[in-house]
Amino acid sequence: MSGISEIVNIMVWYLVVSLVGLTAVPLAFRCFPSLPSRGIALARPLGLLLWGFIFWLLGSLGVLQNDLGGQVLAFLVVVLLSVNNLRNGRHRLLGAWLRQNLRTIIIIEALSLLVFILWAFIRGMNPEVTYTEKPMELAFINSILRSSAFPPQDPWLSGFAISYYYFGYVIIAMLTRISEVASATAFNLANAAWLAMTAAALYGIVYDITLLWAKQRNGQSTTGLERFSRNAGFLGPLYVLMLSTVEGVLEFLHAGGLFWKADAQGKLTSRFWSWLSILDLNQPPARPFDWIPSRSGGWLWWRGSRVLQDLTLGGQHIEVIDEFPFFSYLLADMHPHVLAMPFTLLTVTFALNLFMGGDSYLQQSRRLLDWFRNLNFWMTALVLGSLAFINTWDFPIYVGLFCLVWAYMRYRTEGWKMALLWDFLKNGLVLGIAGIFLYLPFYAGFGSQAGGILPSLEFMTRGVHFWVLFAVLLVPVIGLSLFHLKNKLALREFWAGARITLILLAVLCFLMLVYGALLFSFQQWGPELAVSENPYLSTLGAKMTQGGNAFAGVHAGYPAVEVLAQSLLRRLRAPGTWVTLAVVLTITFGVLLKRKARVAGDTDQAEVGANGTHDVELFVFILILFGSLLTIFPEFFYLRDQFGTRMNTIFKFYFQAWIFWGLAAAVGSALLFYQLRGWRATIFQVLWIVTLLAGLAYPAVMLYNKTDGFSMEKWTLDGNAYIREYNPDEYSAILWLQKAPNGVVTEAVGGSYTDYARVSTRSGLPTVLGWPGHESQWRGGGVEMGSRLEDIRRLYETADWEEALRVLRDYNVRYVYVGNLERSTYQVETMKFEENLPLVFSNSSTLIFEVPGQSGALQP
Amino acid sequence: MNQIHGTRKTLSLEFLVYLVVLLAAGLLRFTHLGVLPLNDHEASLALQALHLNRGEQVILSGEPGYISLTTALFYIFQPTEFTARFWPALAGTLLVLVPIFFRKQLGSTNAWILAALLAFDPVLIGVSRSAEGGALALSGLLAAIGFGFNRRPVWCGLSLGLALAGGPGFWPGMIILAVILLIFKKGFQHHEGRSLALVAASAGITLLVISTLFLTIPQGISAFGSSFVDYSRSWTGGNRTPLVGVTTAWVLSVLPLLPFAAWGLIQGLVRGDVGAKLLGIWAGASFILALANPARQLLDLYWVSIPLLTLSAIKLADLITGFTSENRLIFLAEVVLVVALVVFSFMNAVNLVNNPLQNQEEYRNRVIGVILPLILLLGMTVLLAWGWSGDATRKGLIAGIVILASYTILSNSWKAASLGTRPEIEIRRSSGAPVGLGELMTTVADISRFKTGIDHRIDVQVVNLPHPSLEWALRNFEQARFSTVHDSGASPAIVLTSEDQQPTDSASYRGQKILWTVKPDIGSMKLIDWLKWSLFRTAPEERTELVLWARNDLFPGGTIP
Repeated sequence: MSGISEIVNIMVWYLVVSLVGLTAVPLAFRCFPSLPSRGIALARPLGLLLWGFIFWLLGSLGVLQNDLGGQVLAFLVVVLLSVNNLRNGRHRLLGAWLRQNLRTIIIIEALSLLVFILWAFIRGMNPEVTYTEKPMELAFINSILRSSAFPPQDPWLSGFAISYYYFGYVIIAMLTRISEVASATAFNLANAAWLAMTAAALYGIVYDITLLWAKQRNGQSTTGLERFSRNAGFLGPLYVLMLSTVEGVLEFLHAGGLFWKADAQGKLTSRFWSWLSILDLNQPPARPFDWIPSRSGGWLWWRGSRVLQDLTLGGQHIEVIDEFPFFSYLLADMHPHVLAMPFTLLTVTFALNLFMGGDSYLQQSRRLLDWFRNLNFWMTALVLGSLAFINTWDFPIYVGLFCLVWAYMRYRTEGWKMALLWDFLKNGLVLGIAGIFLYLPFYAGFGSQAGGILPSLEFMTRGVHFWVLFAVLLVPVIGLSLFHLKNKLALREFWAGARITLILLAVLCFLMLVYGALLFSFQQWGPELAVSENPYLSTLGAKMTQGGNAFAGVHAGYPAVEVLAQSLLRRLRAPGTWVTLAVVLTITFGVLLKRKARVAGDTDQAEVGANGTHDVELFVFILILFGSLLTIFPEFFYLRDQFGTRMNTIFKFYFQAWIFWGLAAAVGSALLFYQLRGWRATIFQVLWIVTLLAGLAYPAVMLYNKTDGFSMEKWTLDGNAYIREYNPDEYSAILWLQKAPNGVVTEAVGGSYTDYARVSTRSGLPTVLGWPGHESQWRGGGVEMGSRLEDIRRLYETADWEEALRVLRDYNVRYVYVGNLERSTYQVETMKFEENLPLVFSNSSTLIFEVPGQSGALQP
Repeated sequence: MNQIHGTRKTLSLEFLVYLVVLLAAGLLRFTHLGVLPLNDHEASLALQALHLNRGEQVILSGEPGYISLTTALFYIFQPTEFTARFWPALAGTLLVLVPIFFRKQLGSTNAWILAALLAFDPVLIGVSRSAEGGALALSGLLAAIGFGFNRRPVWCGLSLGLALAGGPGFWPGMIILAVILLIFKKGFQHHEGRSLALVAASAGITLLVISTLFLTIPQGISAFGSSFVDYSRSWTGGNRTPLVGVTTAWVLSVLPLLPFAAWGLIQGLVRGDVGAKLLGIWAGASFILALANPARQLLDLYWVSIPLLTLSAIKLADLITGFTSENRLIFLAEVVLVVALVVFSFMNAVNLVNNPLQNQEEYRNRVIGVILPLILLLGMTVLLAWGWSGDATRKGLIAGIVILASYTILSNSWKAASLGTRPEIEIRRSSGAPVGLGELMTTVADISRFKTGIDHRIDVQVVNLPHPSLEWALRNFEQARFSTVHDSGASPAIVLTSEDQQPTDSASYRGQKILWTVKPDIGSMKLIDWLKWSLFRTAPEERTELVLWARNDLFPGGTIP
């Protein structure tokens, strides 16, 4: 691909995303009346969400075709909705607002464009769509592009629809199709676009909070205040997207040989690094020491996302994923947690708008029927519901955030009563059901791997690991908390917060132990019930036995008493995480539960403003609270999945906690810089700068490492370029298949995260079986896969044409692919294909046969 | 009383004129409508209607109106060439009534002359006889404008909805309309918001109802989006038909009217007439839009025809209203002179073009035969004007030219209506005319009858032949399969391949070449070729052939090795 066409691709992609965003500006203006920025920074995600939803829903209902025409029509509907929002003089209001806020808009747009171009440039230095889960994501995008209708075909299990939260991929596929960029290039452009959208959204949120805060304290807006907020806005993307764990600093220290001592035999040992117990870093560095981190035969940048190590009672390390946004973008997997980021921030903006007294359905009426008639309700449900379809884990979290904000607002005005709890649950339930209802066709074909909640008896996060991960964010968060403790919190309020925190921790711990004991006891009760004559009790008994055994298996057969005792002892021996969280929660609860402000003269004054608005700083504490709850929960419980560990729970919960705390840290930093004076200011500023530098160490060194020293030698955005270079035969075969009519293709089957399934991944044609491990995860088991793994082996290895033909017919195969990977995986008997099937493509190492009479119709 | 009687008389005469024009338009559009087989372009659309009619899943292209209406027709009647082309022909016929809406603006004489020109325009006839949505878009949009001018918002919306469903052909019309509205916005009356809402609502409902065939084909509405995509893509992709070829074909098709249109336009501009300016911009914009598009086709120039014909109609009306002359004899003499001498000159020109020249002397005689009658005409006209009556001579000259132009238009219309001797050489779309249909169907039906006793029962496999016209032709066969590779295992009775392919077990088959499509190779045509095409519809041809393979055992004594 030439440089010019790469630049054209970048421009076209950004223009398309911007056009969709521009269309949604009137909608954002209408949706966020209480925010100074009117949600303009989130117009792109809002537009993409609406466009994607309309296209997908109407496509699922058979009204729109999964083609460009359908996309154009869906876009037309968004335009009409937007134009409708400009009626009744609103276009004049919007025009006036745009003129007044031109400078802010220019900053947001400049930031977005700059981030997009910069990151597209970075992506071009390491654009390969390979390793980790990139192939899976590209396979989804290609599959959506090639499917004639929704739900899209599963690229790795022919005849089945995708069983995964795939909405993000629908949006990328739509952008790919309309911009006419090759999907492997679009993959990298989407990564840059998502980063740009997230950066703009973060800027907008921090700008809004700081400006609202400044206005609440200083009355009317002034140029100075706006300048302060415009500058503070940059802290949003800085904290959430750029700053990272301090693991980067540790890499420097490790490479420099700090704390390592050579013993008599010259062997390096270190008590510090052993105590730290982070894999790779607990091994001696290469000599001579040179302070520049490097790791031969491994990805240096990978370790940052695997700082945490769960330790079994037997002393075995279990991998835990602790990704943070910069790592995710550096890795550049377009995984659901990355895809969801702009949309989760859209939800945060909805919550902020509600908190600031926005024209929400909740404020207009408390009757359900009135809600259903309210467009605002459906918009909220649409945005929240999308999260389940983009990254299911985020759905309950953000529904919870939105409902908590409302319940808290009522608490502020009406005080505590049990009705608040009911109100919280009712809102959550109604909003949740509405969110599910809007995306109902998705749930029809979705099989979740989630299998309930398990107590985390053995596993907990060590304090040092927790601090390595979150230190950069915790410093401003705790700084803000302490500032409140010192200036705004009475002792009784502090104790009230402490009391609630203690109750929360005690309840969580108690539930964990009781639940754990109960699960262990299943091993005993289950077999007794299983022999019951009552069929229901018998089935229940069998299930209990199975569950109890599985749970005991997780704990390697250790006796229940020992596991339960150890779970307590471990927490007492390494209290760093929960003590940290207890401190943060105590102050946060104290601040949030306070209903009156303490002012000079010791008189209490209601903090609810005359126009019903609340102190926006409290919203920051709600974010801190949510971050804390998301990190305290996996200390006691985790969601059961195929892995049986808390790997994914930590991954998904900590990632969201990073966003909440990142936003709070950004706002907190701005507010503390503004308010602190004297020695406190000096201490904070020193700490702030130190943590900032520590947080920047990772991006600096890892960006350099991953881009091979910012090498421009092979710069391209084409994610398939490496195949063209290293395996041109395969590349040309894939190009041929990309243009061939639809149909099932067979290829070698192998493990996850490898090069297997590369043909279906890059051509968009479904294969009989791709990565079996992933299929099993998506579908919660291997029932659908049946005997496909063995059947494909038989197909390639048998010399008997009739036997091969049976496999071809069973799976309605149209194309048989024979490349180097097939030859190295199987003892391929090519003769039977050559004698019986037309060879439709061949080069020196690749053969593609077509099975006559297979029209491409897919069947399970 | 007399006045009322006079009005009635005028109305009935006008009614009669429109009726005659409508009949003529209908004749030119419906006569032998189903004779010519559908070409690839037409068949690709008709097949979508056919698949929908059979309840099969199909991805609809951007012509929802044509596809859904044709599906309905296929449901009521049989899927045939006639039913596939019915709706465009009907829309093209009704187009001649559009000038009625503009009688106030044009004047009643201009309006009926325009109606007549619309009926006989070769480009409009071509698009009306083509199985596609262009005629629906054109007639719908013009009717919408007409109803709009006459303050009928609901009908305006209905027509607009029909036009919107008309496919990619709608968008250039919409662009031109937008350009005109932008330039002449002050000249148009502003409509109330309620009227616009009514127009929008009725257009939206019509679009929904038509494109989805009363909501029975939901994805039809999606095809409306595809129409925009198809039009946009024509600018980036397309088959890149030669610009000179398309322009020449168009000029030759509308040649008799071009001078009148140009005359009318220049005269109007000189007078500062807003209408002439508007029509000029319309013609220019649509001409550029049609020809600048890389996927340009002769039939896409139908948006140019409307202003061109309107300008011509205005000029022609201006000329023929003054034909009454005191000196009828001179008038008639001049008419006879013009017709006779120009025809004589033309015959010599035809001879010069068509017959190979034997020698220099014959060539000289032919050239003299072409030039001399024209010099003679010039001399006689000058003498008549000088010696008898200048006014009568001028009118006679014009009347003669109008008669000759009318004859040429009629001739072109006749050919455009596929009523000429070689309809396959008409330049329409880039798809060739499937001239081999008869031979193919006869051969296959013979074999089928011989083998199964029924014409359409034998199994036919079409291998890697991307010709929708072929799929359309085989639509009634019970066992016709289309694939990219030959299924030797199935051993089909008849295999159709391209001429460079053969069945994998070719020893079991006997092959027969069939000329499948023919089309004029306009890329290679020179001036002389264009003249021949214009006069006799002969031209260098592009041909595609296919091979019909019949299994050996289908022939008496034949066996499979």
